[in-house]
Amino acid sequence: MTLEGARRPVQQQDVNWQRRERAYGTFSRAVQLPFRVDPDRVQARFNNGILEI
Amino acid sequence: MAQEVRTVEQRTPQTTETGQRSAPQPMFLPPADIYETRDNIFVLAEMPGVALDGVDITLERRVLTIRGRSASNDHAGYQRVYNEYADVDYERAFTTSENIDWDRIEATLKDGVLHLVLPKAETANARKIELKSG
Repeated sequence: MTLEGARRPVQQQDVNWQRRERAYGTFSRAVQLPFRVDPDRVQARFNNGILEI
Repeated sequence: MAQEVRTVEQRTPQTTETGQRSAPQPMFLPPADIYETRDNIFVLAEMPGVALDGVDITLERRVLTIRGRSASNDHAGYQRVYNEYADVDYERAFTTSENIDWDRIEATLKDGVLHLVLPKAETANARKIELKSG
């Protein structure tokens, strides 16, 4: 199972940055599942920044 | 803006007056972006897992403190196979150098990111002092 996503930076004109700690860009992660999965019954939720599959 | 008030990286959370903590959770410093425009200061802090009712924002003098508490993520009936993610508490404090109009601060929470808009106070509030003759 592979997850991919992207975090887009805020588009703001003429701003003065004070602090920039958050990371932006694309990401991907692959997880090998320890069992066979029925792909038709997979459910996914995204709540408060947490992806739950 | 954005002078950081030093906080401990990890500590045992204290019980708040609003509710008891069933179990202490690790304390994290949420990564933050802070930028300003002519009229506003924007703060974006990452607090994944925190729901609306888990956010606490306080202002005391010029210190802005943001706290978040992850909603409990128990999965009853499931056996843990692998674990990297943990429910944590977030806390971070900044001092503000600009005068902030505290009454017009806006705070929103979206996809685990806390967005704060801090309007700069009008500097035209200079008051004329009437001089009385003694």
